[in-house]
Amino acid sequence: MSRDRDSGRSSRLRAVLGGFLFFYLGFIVLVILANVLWLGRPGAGGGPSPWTFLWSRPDLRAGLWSSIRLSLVASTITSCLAIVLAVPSAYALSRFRFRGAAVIDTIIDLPIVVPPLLAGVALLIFFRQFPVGRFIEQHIVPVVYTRTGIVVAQFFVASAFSIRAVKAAFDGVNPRFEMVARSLGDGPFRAFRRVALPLARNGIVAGFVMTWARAMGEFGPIMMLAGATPGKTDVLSVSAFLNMSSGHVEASIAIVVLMIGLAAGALIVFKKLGGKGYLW
Amino acid sequence: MIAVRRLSLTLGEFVLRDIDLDVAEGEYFVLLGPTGAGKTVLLECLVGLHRPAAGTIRLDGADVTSAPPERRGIAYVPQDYCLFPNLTARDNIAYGLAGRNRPRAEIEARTGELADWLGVRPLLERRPLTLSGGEKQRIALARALAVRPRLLLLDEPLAAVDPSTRDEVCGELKKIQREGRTTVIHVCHNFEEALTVADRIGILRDGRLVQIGSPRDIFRRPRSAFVARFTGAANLLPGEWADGSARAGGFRFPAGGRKPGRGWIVFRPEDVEVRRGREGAEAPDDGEAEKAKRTGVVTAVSDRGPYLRIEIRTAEGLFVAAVSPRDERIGGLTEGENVEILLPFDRAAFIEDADDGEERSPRRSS
Repeated sequence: MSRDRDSGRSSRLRAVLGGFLFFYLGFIVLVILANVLWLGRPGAGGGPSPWTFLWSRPDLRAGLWSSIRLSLVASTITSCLAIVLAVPSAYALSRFRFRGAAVIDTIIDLPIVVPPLLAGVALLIFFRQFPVGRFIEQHIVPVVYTRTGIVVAQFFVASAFSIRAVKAAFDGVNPRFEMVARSLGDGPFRAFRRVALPLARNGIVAGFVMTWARAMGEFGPIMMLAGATPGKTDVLSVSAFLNMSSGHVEASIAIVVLMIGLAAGALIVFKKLGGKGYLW
Repeated sequence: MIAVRRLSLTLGEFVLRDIDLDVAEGEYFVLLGPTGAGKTVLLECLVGLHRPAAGTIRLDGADVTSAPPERRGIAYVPQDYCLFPNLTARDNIAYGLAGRNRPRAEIEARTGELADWLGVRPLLERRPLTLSGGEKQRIALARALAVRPRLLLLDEPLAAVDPSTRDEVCGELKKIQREGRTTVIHVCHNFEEALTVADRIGILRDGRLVQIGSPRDIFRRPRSAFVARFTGAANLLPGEWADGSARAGGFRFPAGGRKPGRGWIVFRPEDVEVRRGREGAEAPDDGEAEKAKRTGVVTAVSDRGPYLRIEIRTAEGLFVAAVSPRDERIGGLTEGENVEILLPFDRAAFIEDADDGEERSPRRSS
């Protein structure tokens, strides 16, 4: 009797919890569906669908392709730089107890939490008004309103992601492994290369993928620092914005659908690799 | 071989205080202590994982207190073995030699030799994840021995071993020490295990080495109530002794030429004799005889296989006796029966210790 009542209660609880969960899930799925369907729906007055229209306009198509190429190249360069920085930084954060570690940890998370657009404004001030930034701008490489600026803007935010994800990967490797390696004769560098690095490899690759996805989606800081010059600094997200502003909704929605696909792919790879520690 | 002097360290809730420890070349030394005593921390200190706050560690005369682990030549088999999961058993064993860029032929020869010695040749191409606990342990031992360490440290090597193969593994460890002429420090919390393998035992309590000696010595002459209890000497009578005679509770018996003192008089359960008593008859207290007699009531009998553990309540408190199940005088003994217990004076250990040796603050495992 009471078992029946209990199982009745527990199934009601499941229904309630499931209701909440599916409400949100349904919301996401419907939003995605709305965009995909919109691209294929018949045009006003029986005209071509937005997708067909997009393919019929070589100028829009070419712009889209160049944005895709630019995004891919910039994000890949950014992710490579970020991971090169993240592996040693994250290893240090994961393995060494030092004073101020908590402060450093917080500072490193700042670029993730600060509103992206404002991060871009801050970067602009750094390169235009601050001596160090001005020196870089004038004597090393011009950043503001250039393609380099795209990478710098992406790097500023995405590196924080890399460090987070790679630190989680190193945290998942028992330091005793390195200890055993060292008792067998490895110096600290060799133990890092032969033990910690291979054991954290999946997590590092996952971090790379997530960093790349984040760089692909970056918008605010790029707008501010690199500008939104069509054909020059219009990465996919900027291009979507420009196309919305100029009335080419179909191009924007195509980018939306493409980005959703990329994001889903990145998440699947990330989770397959057992990645941890991301924070949008 | 290894000489530790006044080593102290605080690590979170683990504390080591003034550890003095010498282990001789080729010796099998067991560090024994309850969970949380700091055994693993001490071991990790010897490997070089923690830098001590004070004290020195010398290896063959050279001060290695602040030397990094790779310069110590101390191999280490952690409790969970820590086999590199991304390498095959073969590559695990070869790890140290490969890191030293030894010629491939030498690495293969040494790996094969150890694999045969420890009987793991069929496992060489397997990955650690597919190995059983005992197999992992052999691979971890082979990996540690491959670099011909000066000293081998084993952290709870029998913790994950099936009780039925415990003796076999103990034999294996002794073989490594004897045939491989390896100096071994082995950490455990089980006195029986220590007795099986140790040449000498050091007992650690709350970060202090409270007694070091041969297994016999620790078994027969515990120096504190704690050691007595930890090694299973369950019968501790508070007492005092002077002028060749001792008093403990209602007992009086000879104390040899012992200096006057007070503390505990200890009888091991296996030294306590039990006989069926006559109902209600109080045995005469023949003070200066060979054995003290007391009557009591059996409160528990548990069959431990090789022996029966019997608890007897007497006027002096609870006594524990371990007797052979073949002992005909107590055949079929059950709870509630009246018995007579005999404590042989010549087996008593005298401990000058105010502390009662009970564990008060069990702490997290190391």
